[in-house]
Amino acid sequence: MNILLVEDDSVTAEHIHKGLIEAGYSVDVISDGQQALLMMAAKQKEYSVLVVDRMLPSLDGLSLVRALRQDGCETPVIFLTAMSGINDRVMGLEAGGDDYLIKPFAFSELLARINALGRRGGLQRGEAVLKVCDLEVQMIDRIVMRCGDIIKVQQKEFSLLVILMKNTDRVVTKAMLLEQVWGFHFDPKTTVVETHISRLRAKVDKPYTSQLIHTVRNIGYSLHA
Amino acid sequence: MLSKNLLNSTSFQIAASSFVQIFYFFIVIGAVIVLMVNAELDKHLTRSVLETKKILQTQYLEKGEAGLVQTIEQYGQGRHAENHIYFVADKNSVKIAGNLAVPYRKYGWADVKPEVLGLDEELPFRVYGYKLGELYVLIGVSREITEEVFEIILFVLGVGFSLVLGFILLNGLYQAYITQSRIALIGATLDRIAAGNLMERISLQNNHDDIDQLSVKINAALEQISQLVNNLEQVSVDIAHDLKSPINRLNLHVYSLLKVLEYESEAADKAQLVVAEATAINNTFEALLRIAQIESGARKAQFQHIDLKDTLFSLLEAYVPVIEDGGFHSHIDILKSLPLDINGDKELLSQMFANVLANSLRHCSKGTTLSVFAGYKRKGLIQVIFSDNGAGIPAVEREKVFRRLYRLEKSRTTSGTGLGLSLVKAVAHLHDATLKLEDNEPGVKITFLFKAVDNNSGNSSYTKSHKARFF
Repeated sequence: MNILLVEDDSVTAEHIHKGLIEAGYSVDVISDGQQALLMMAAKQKEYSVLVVDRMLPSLDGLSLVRALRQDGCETPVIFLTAMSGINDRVMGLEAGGDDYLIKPFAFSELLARINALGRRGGLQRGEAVLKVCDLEVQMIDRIVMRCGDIIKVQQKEFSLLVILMKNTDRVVTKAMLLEQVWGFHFDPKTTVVETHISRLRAKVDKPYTSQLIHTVRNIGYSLHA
Repeated sequence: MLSKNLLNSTSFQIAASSFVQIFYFFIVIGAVIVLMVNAELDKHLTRSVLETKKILQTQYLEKGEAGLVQTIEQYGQGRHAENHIYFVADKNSVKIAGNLAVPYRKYGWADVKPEVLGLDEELPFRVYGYKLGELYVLIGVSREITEEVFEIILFVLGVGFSLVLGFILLNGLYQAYITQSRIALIGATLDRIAAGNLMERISLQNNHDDIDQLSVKINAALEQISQLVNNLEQVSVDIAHDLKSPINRLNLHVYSLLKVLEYESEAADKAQLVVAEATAINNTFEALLRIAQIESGARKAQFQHIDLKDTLFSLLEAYVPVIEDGGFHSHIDILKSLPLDINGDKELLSQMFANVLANSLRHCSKGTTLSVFAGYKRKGLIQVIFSDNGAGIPAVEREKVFRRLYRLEKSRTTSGTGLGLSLVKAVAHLHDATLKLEDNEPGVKITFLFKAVDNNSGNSSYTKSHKARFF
């Protein structure tokens, strides 16, 4: 997967570049908004995800993404920015961003979001049945089954499970779960995610021999065999 | 609403005050005019009587008693007879000639009622009786002539007075309407500004009147406020960039360090502590910035019609498992069927309620019951109450807990920025909600009062049985 990183802070750019290379991605780094626009015009189809800072020289990140969307570019965009005002996230998403990550950030958080966005195209086509090992989720009937047993889960537990299954083998961070399951873009200051994951585990993992939901320390959760 | 307050407007009050002053002015002027005219008419009547007296005197001197009687006979029957009295009697008061049927004998000037003189008139007569030789002569003139003049004067004064006062009154109402319309426009503009549209300005009439001059000053003040808010936003951006960037780099460096440190080694644990501290610093000024942005009121422009019940249910759906699994008890008292509609920002309200719940969870011991109630206090007023039966907050500290960075002595060892309840206060204020923290005896009770946008839904019974059910 090729990623275009548009970031004018050299330390941040270097760190992300190095981290993504280590994670197996191919990364191009540009520090200027106008140059990024030119680059996308020339090589748009080569990139799977764009990571864009908002405060950039010559053309700010919002204008860059707006221009790309007007040109018909559908490449997923993550804003990576220090602008954390209460309207900034909305402005970013309205400009055409797909995700909004606020600095300072943990690299694992960025990586998880890039992974989720990079896979999004395929997932959005909508699988009717999600299956990981002996765990199965029927999306239309909202049925969860493991080893042939029907497991009764609450609405939010179902949402949690679906997100984890759609990101099988990848890490989903707590912040991503808070945003996607509850729509919280703030720190709940309690163990909301941990508690609901614990309840979900008690239903889909504990009665069975193999554990599928794994905790990734200080980051989030991953569902895999 | 405009007409309802019209009589209370300053313009109308000034007009009414002018009306009263001019009314008294007219009364005084009218009285002076009446007195002067009356005096002048009296003089005229007197002159008229005296001239007649002179003629009669001349007739008497020239032609004797017969000439006097003849003249009086003529006057008493001629065109002068109307409204006039001409009378002559002998020394025994026996009528000799004249148009008076009843005997009358008084000397000098007098105002006599017509019935005394046996006349079928309405108004008194101004009479003068005197002795001429052996004869008694009475000459008089009816006051009807003066009354007619009075009536004309009073009519002219009345019409003039009514026209002037009517004009003043109508002009007052018109000016009041114009003034109130302009004040209503200013009020509407200020309401839009209060709602977060900081670029709104009061439109001017350019007639340099008082309201225009006041509007210019208000616009100048608004410009300054807008500039300050812009400065605040710019400062926020600057802080975001200039302070957060070093913290971001610090974190990135520590993450790089963590990669080369042995997993779960002492050095790696220390490095994690550095990340945690950096995150805490960032969280503190993120919270400060967020509170400042909320207090600026700009977010009001994004307010939408929302049902508080939905916001609370979404939040409780996330938090009730945390409450129950954390060893606490929950008691939810919200009618599912009752709409609790307000204008607001769902995300900020969620964060506000989340902060209140998180605060209770952090500071209460296990076994505590956390209760949430939502409903109508009265028509148009929604009440949301979060309460617990924990240790509570000392009375002297209850107001202080909403201050920025204030932390209770007993809470200094627990995590938190000391900004959670400051944000609660800022969000409540943004929504024009009343916030009250009380002793729950035992525990803490926080009450929010919101203005409902749909009054029709109020006054529903709290006693219906189908309350919220979770899980």
